[in-house]
Amino acid sequence: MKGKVEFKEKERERYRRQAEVLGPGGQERLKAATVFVAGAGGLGSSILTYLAAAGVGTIRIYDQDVVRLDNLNRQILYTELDEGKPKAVRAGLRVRNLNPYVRIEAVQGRIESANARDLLKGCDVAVDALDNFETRFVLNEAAVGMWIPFVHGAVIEMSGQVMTVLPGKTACLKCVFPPVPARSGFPILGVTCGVIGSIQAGEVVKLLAGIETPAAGRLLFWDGRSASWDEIEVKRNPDCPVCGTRGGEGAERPK
Amino acid sequence: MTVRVRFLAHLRTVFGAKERDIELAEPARIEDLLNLLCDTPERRNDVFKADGSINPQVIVMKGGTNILSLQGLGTPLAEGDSVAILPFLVGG
Repeated sequence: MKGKVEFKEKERERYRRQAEVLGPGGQERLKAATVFVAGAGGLGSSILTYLAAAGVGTIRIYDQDVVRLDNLNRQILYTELDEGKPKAVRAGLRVRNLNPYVRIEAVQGRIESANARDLLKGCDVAVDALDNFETRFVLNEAAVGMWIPFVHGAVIEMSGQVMTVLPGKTACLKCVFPPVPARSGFPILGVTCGVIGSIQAGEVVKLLAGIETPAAGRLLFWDGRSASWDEIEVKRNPDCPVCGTRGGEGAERPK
Repeated sequence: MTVRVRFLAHLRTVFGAKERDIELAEPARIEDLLNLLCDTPERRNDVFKADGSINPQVIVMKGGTNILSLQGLGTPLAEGDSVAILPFLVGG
């Protein structure tokens, strides 16, 4: 995070109702922070909305797709007028309107091993709002390698999950999930993205403000069918190729 | 021995429970447990592929570790072990 931050009077008033929750200096830490949001789809729509409303200083939005009509059941940042337009750009404009005090860096592009570390440069937290595990693993590896906390979320139909990764401390995605071929087009009820994306945004805010307990070392599960939450413990895999402690690049904190 | 099995998300509906304590004859492996649990074609289909390996749409954890990082279906079980069966959610 950067140095001292200052708030305009209107800005202070905007955040008045949450400052107490964030604790002393919490709002300042949010404003000084840069967050990388990978994906501006269903999860991204609610994550971006809440991060901007909360007053995260700089939000970097990255998405490779354009808006399609069948996105609109869950990707609530967009309207029919956005059809065919790049999501990153449209999301950036929309979020800037939600909170003009937030700096937006919106780029249409694909996250790959070759660019992931550059994209995360200067970020305090990375958020996974992706729709496939191939890219999730790329982001996970870059975030863990750069010692950047990483908030994972995924959904299908009426179910969703959240897990926060504290590099070097708690399980990363690669510790838990097996490699899978990329697939897309799963059925998803819009509100499932709202539920999971909101939890993810909450995790980011807590991490930035330095308050409360993250969902790290745990996989939270939302089952919308029965309207219930559950969680399971997840452990680091000592042989994990990304963060394993038995040798390997991920084992030691970078200088 | 007794192991505790937890079912997450829609697998609760498939297995009709949030969690179950299962009695197994010793020695037992994950495969024995799953075979016992998958007593209908639907349950079997949700957990196993036709070739008998784990369905990639399902994740089986023992004590917080994916069994694929242990000994897979051959992972040994002990009294009091905790096993979780969860769907692999991938969308966003």
